[in-house]
Amino acid sequence: MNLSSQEAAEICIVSVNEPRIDAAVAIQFKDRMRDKTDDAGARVVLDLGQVNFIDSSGLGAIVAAMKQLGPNRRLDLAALNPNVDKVFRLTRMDRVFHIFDTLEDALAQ
Amino acid sequence: MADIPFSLRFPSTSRAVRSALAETCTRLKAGESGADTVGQVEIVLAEVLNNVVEHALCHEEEGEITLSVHHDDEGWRFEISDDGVAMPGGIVPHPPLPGTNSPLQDLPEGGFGWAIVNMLAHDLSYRRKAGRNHLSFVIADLG
Repeated sequence: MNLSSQEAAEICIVSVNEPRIDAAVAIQFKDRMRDKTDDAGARVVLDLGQVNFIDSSGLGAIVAAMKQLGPNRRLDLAALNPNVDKVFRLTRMDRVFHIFDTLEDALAQ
Repeated sequence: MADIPFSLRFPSTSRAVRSALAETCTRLKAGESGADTVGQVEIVLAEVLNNVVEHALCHEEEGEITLSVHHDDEGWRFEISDDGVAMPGGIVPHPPLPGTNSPLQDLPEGGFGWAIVNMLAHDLSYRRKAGRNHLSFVIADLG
């Protein structure tokens, strides 16, 4: 599960360098998110631009990643592909996360 | 649609499910299905097959899943069979969508699978026959 992170204007950007977050990698994703966001500040943006598929296990892992940030930090999502966006909308999880069309939009916020 | 209908047979692991999904999507695209239809198929199939891997076959050493796909007037018809334990209650689960209005630490991390399947698939049918589970459903052509 290849995740990379960078800091920009005190925002921690985590990019998922994989085409899928599914049942086969959901636990790895959650663990790697913990590694990448341990030292993050108040805002983390998850760049999903390279991800073209998530299933409900992947969705659960993203929710878990937000929970493990705790109450004083927030996880925003950026660059959802249509089929990924669909899973968030179907499950109403689009109401839980701030979702930005592009990474640039998220950083401009 | 030279590659349709088709059947796949694969072990009950999440990696094998990935391969089966990729194969199915490739064949549907070759059958000139649009991106929306293929995307919807992949979402539903992933949930159904993951459920088989996680529940029905969790005690089996070498569980096996078969997937049959064909196309008719209603759209894409899928039949999935496995030799794992029976579906609880002998019916297709129809749980409500987990609530998302809860505080952060209470947000649901699971329980979405069957809710998603019921939203996107129709003609869902389950039967237990000769020690195997048989699930079938239809995904309409979205163009």
